[in-house]
Amino acid sequence: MLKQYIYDDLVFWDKEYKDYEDLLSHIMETLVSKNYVEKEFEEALIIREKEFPTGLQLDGYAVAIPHGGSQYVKKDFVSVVTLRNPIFMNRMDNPEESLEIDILFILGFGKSETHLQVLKELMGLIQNPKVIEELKKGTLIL
Amino acid sequence: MANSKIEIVVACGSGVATSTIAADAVKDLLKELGIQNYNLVKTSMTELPNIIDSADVILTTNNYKTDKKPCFNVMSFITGINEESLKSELADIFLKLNN
Repeated sequence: MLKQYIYDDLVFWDKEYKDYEDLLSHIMETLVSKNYVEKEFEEALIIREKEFPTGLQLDGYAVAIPHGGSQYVKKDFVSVVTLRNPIFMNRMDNPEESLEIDILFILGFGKSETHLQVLKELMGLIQNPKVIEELKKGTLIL
Repeated sequence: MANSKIEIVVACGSGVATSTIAADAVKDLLKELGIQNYNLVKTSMTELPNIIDSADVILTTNNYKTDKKPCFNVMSFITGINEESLKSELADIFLKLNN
């Protein structure tokens, strides 16, 4: 199910951004112009990340799964971003701690129930270090 | 206490995403334990303080702490790391509350 929400135009390989807000502002250009979200989505995700960060420490690596702003989502999506140089983001279950993040899955879902299925599937996927390695190399076709 | 339901609150940042995944895992665990007499509520971290008084146990993905009630970080249900030890900790408290 996850696969069908990962659109080619929302996969960003090997990018360089100085921080999360910089990353988001670049991705927003595509998200808005391709009609996935309304522009308010950006602020919703920034606020959300500040209040309740989405960095996940996994077994030897870390990923972030920014999500929120469901009221601004027009078309459900999962955007995959891999970074050449990691950015710092805070840890969901310990917001005082920052993690070096070089792979993000930005989730945009409206009020549909399907997004939970997708999120679950994604969680299963990101627990596999091989999948993450392949994603970073850009060799894994999801 | 015998006939009162265990009141379980599961909270995450939005009250929608990670809390739902954790809540499903908690329901599975309760089923394994044969506990049916419970009420599980999902909420956001913002709403959590408003319903804390009615809860028997609080589970969050944000490492929330309060002295009022037993709290558990259920991030292991999301990441899969240390999931078994979390399950056994939760099993202990659920079985205790169920008695």
